[in-house]
Amino acid sequence: MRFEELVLERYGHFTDRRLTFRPDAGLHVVLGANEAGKTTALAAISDLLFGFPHQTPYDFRHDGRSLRVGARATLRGGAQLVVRRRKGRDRTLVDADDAALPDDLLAPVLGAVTRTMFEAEFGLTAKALREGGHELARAGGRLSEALAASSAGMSALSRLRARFAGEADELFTPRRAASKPFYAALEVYSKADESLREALVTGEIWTAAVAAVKEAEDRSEAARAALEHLGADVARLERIGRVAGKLAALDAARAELATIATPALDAGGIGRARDALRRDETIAAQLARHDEDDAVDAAKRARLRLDPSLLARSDAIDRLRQRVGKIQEELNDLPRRQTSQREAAARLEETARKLGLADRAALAAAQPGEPALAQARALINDGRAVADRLDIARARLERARDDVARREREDGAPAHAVDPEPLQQRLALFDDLPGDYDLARRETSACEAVQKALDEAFAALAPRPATLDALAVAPLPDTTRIDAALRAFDRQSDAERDHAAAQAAADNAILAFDAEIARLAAGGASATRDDLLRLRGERDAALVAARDADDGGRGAAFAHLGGVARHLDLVTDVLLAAGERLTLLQNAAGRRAESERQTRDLAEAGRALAGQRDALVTQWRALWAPAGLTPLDPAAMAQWLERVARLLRRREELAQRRAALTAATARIAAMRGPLIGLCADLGAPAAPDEAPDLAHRRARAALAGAQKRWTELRARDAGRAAARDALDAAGKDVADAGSKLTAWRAAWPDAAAGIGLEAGADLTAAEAALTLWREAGELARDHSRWTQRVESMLRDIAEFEADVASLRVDGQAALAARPALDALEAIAGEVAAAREAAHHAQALDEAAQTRAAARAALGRDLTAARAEIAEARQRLDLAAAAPLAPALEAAARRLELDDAIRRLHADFTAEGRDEAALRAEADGVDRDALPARLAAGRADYKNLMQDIEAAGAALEAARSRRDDLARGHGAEAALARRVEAAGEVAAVARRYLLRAAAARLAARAVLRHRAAVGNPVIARASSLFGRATNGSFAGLVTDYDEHDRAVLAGRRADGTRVPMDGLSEATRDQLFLALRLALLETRAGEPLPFIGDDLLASFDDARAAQALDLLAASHVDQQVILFTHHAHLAALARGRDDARIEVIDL
Amino acid sequence: MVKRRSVALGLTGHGGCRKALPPMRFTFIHAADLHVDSPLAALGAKDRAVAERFAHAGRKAVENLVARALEEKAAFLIIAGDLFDGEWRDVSTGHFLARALGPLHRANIPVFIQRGNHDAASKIARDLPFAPSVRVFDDAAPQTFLLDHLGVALHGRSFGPRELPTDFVSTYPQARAHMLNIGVLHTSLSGDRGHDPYAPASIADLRAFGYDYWALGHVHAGEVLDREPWVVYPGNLQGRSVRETGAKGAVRVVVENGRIGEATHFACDAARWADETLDVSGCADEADIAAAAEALFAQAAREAEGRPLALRLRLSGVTPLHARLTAGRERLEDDLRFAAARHADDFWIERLRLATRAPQTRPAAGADALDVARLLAETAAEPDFAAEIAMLTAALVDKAPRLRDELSVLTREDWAAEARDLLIGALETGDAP
Repeated sequence: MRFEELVLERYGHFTDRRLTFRPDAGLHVVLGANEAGKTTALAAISDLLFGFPHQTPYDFRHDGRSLRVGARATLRGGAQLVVRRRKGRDRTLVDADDAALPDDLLAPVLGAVTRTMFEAEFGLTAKALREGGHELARAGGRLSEALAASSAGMSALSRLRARFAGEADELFTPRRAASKPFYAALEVYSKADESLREALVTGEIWTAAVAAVKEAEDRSEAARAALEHLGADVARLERIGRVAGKLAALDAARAELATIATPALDAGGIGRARDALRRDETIAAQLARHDEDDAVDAAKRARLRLDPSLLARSDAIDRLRQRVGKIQEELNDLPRRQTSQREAAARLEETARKLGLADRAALAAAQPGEPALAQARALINDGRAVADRLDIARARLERARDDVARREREDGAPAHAVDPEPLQQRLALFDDLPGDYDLARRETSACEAVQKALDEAFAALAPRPATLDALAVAPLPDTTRIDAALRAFDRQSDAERDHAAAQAAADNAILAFDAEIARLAAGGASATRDDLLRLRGERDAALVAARDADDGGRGAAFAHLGGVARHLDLVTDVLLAAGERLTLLQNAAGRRAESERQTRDLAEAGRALAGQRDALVTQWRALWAPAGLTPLDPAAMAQWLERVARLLRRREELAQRRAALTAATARIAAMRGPLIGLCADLGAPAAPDEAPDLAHRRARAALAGAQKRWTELRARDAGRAAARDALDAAGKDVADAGSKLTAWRAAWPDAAAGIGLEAGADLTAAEAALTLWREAGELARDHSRWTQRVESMLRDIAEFEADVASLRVDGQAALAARPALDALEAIAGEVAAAREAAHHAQALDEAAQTRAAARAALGRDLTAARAEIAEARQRLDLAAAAPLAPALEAAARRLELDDAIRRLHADFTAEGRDEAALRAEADGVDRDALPARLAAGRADYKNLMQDIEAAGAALEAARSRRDDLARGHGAEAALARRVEAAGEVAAVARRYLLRAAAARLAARAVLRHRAAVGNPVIARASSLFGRATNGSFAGLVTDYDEHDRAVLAGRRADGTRVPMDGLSEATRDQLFLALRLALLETRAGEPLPFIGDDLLASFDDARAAQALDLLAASHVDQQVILFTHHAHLAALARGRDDARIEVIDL
Repeated sequence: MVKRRSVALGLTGHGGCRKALPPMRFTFIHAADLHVDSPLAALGAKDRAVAERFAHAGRKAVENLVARALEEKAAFLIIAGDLFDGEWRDVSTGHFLARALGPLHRANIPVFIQRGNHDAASKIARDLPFAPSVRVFDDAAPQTFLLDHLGVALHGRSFGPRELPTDFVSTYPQARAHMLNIGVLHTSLSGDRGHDPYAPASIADLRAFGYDYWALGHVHAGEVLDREPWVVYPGNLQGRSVRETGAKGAVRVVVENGRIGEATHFACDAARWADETLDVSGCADEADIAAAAEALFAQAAREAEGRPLALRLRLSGVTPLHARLTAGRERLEDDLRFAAARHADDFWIERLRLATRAPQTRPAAGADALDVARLLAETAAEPDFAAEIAMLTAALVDKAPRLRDELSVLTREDWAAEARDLLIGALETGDAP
């Protein structure tokens, strides 16, 4: 399609603007100054062909609905196309009368070309042209990449390939790496799975927990019932024991009370009478002590020395003493201050002489002011700085001259080096190779080691099937059934252990009872209450027999009766003497019999347990029979099963590692060919059968060399430029410093006069004068300060001595002869003694007054106490001579006995029974046997309590375990987390798969593109390139390197081939333009205009002229429109004098 | 088999029992398919708190059911099977349910439970410490529980450990005279609802028993199938994946004077799933799509009534944006998640699915060397490329065998097409580096 007319009817700032194109021109150069509408015209072409975008920047003058752009064009077959475009959603193509045309009117013209494609492929800017040239350089001559670089779409596709490959590798690589999101997600999943297994509360676990609770409850209940029964019996016996003594105490209290004749007096009355007796005695003693104290204090006061006149002046003396420290310090400092004053005066005189003045008075008169000193100081500094700067600049200038000369000598002629970037990109494709080698090496030995360990572990298995493979498919019982069997055996073992413990306990109990019986029996002649009862029966029978005997047998009968009676007495004596021991003996015998019965029951239970164990063993063996194994015990087989599980997991892991090893080996083999090709390109050829890792190292070393050469070259160029810049800068610095020195010299005379120097004084003399003037000022200030200080001190000392002298007027002649400080100290000592005597006298007076007051109060208390004593005597009905104290003691004892009887009755009430009931309960009870019965009962009670405590703890633990299981361990949440983790693994996998697939698809598409368009595009580009270089190159040539890889190179007229990296930047730009034009020409569809936007802006005139020729010579069907705002380009086009070139002013 | 009439839940109607029963009004609750502690599908939610709330939704739904029964002062509660998942082995799940039903016992609300196919396979469904007022139908033969004070007879039979007899439904007894008869049955009926067939029967078969109400379970989508008699699926209590969308809960049944008055579905679910499709064929760009999605999100958030909501958004329609959407799918998904979060605190876009298609364009006369899209399409169709995708997939599956099913949801051709669209989209949006 060739535009013949483009009409901007209402578009941007244009109204009815027409651009007319000559049909027979190959190239139109449209010249428009900036702001003339060049960009607008370009946009209008796109909008015409593809429609207005939803929002357009070109409706600022005309309303959006009225925007119109139209064109008249000729198609390749000669057909005419007249079309206009309006803005809208559909039916936007209209004819001259704004009648809608079919929306797909332009479809045959545009084909697959979209707006994006049109602007990227058919439009070209100077910037895009330069970037295209760089893209060609990066392609390094490889045909596929060079062809891809010539198309904006294919070039973008190449970049997308790299991007998605990188993103895919970030997500996942076959080699495991914890940092990859895929493996991180997989790890999270594994942990979630493990958490779930730990949190599950299975039915077997629950059943066991419930059974444990039931068993514990039964034990606890039985123990409690026994305890309740025993407790009631022990309580009764204890109560009898407790109240027996109290009943006796009650009887004794009542008997003593009957012996007391003194009338009753309440506790308050007794207390008051006793208190009055104590007070009467105490008050008399206190009055006597007061009298003694009065006499002693009066004697002390008479001995004191009091001086009221001295005390009256004590405050004035104290104030003088406060000044002593200051006066003493001034007396010490005065000589030193006077010396400093004299020295300051002498130094002032010396400074005056140094400055050439008569004395210090003249010095003071000539002292310059601060402004004059500051001005002189600033000019001195400036003078030195200017001089230094000039010296430095001159030295730098010299060094820079030397540096430039040295570089010119050393660098010699310009060198050439190749940009290593494309090679580096190719080498990056093999980055995984070391890892694969490493994996292959590591995994080969690792797999062997694992296999060996597997074999050894399998050989160590007992029991063991024939082979590991057979083990993998053997029908082994699952862990649930193993666990169940393990628990069954555990329960069996627990039962057997409990049984054995019970058996041992029963045996031990029998032994203990035997020992106790023996001990009790050895404690004296033994007899039991049964013996007593039996002998009583014999006695009664003998008595009857004696009564009923005839005379002949009566003697023998009485003799028998006498023997039985003695025996009975003996037994009675034994029982009375050792009632408790015998009761314990009887109790021990009974409990031994009980233990023997338990032993018989336990023997029966033991036989039942043995039968249960046999049945368990049979079931256990049957469980393993399908796998053909004879099992060890369940605990061992549980461990065996875990070992087998680990073994099979390792076997599976080994298979996976071997698969990874195979894959890595295959990848290594696949890299050999490309690597050897890369080595050759790097100038380090490798043997065809060289190992890939050696070739890879070779390539890396060669690339490092190329990078080094490239870097050195660039560094050398940069160094030269920097040296020249330094030379220029140093020259400028020398000139600048010289001008500043001249200005300083003009200002210096005035500043020198200001500090008393001649105009010709140098900087050293000026600095010395400045120093002296600064010292003179400081010395004058010091002298003045010392003088004022000395005078002040002399005044203070004189005033102090006068004040001390005034204290001596009272005729203290001895003091008058002493220095002021010593005299003051003596007077102060006398004042202190006078003050102490006065204080002592005052204290004695106050004590006497206090005693007088106390004596009066004691008299009142004595009267009251004696009244209370009289009242008590009257209430106790005492005769006048009878003492009060014994009567009070008898009355108090009566009160105590009454209280004891009341407390005993309260105790009986607390027992829940009255006195009569308790006496009845105790009646008939053998008090002698009571301790033994209580001891036996308490022992049983203690044992039962321990049983209950143990059963309670076991029950609590069992219930806690069961309740904990019922609440669960969060298995449902763990399952949810596992589901989420699995979802995350899948999500990462999907992201990876999509990106990896896209990267591979892009790579394949680039290769397919080359296969499709390679030959015709290269052939046409070759012709255009020759023309664009004005014969410098005859064209392009495609070769195959030794790795059978197609490469593109320039061909000189003499046949010399120039590789891509040997082309200059400008030549590469021309090559890019030739390739782009050739690519557009080889399209099968309708040719569309090629639009250049200031395409040649950066070209010099010669190259621009060549480019114009190239564009004009483009395909006969291809219309080329070149927009520019450079008038010289338009002039250049006109100057070509080529009928194929037309220049249009916008 | 009679023609089945299916009506939407929530409508009221009259029909059923015509017998003379005591004049009274009461309410009972019909639920099924609790599947307690059955995990919800993966959300992909990076926010742990959101995931936790979804994870606890199942138990919360059970608590909601009990709370509603208490609030309604229900006469009784029926659970028509599948209290648990069959393969779930955690016993504490059963104890949770027993605890959760405790308040009903204290409020004198009996519970009637039929064991379903999952319960029959479940180890945890056995020997649960239910309160005495919780009654479980026997599995050896049908069992009838009579509530004389209400005039109600409940007939049911649990699934047992053995295979179901073929005449399972026919073993149910005939209706009791002068009683309101309720049949509790875990069934897939004719088996055409996408669930495994259990206890097959037709509506006509059920009608022949003369019951007033058939409380069904097993099918997770709630539905009133008939009203003469009432044949009702309440659906499951809590949606578990995007395949179980909308309000999930139970049915409140009102009985007046011995007749079923109305059956109204109410929600118990504590999290909700939605699967929405947005036709983007009229959208000019992503901003248009986002605006349309916002309206959809607002509606979904309202319907969720404050519950955590997981929504799968499916973009459909023929649009020239197809490839761009493919290339920018993940970014768009993130943007939509932000947009959704503006409508509710716990509003999570579970996944963005692209079901869009590029418009069919008339193929150009010949291959255009500039037509990268066509080049990619032809390359993607190469058999070798499909093999390459298979290798990529195999590498992943090698590391995580469980991925095999997940990744095989899309065929190699699907992956090739997605890769092609990803590249074309990236080229169109200028997303190339």
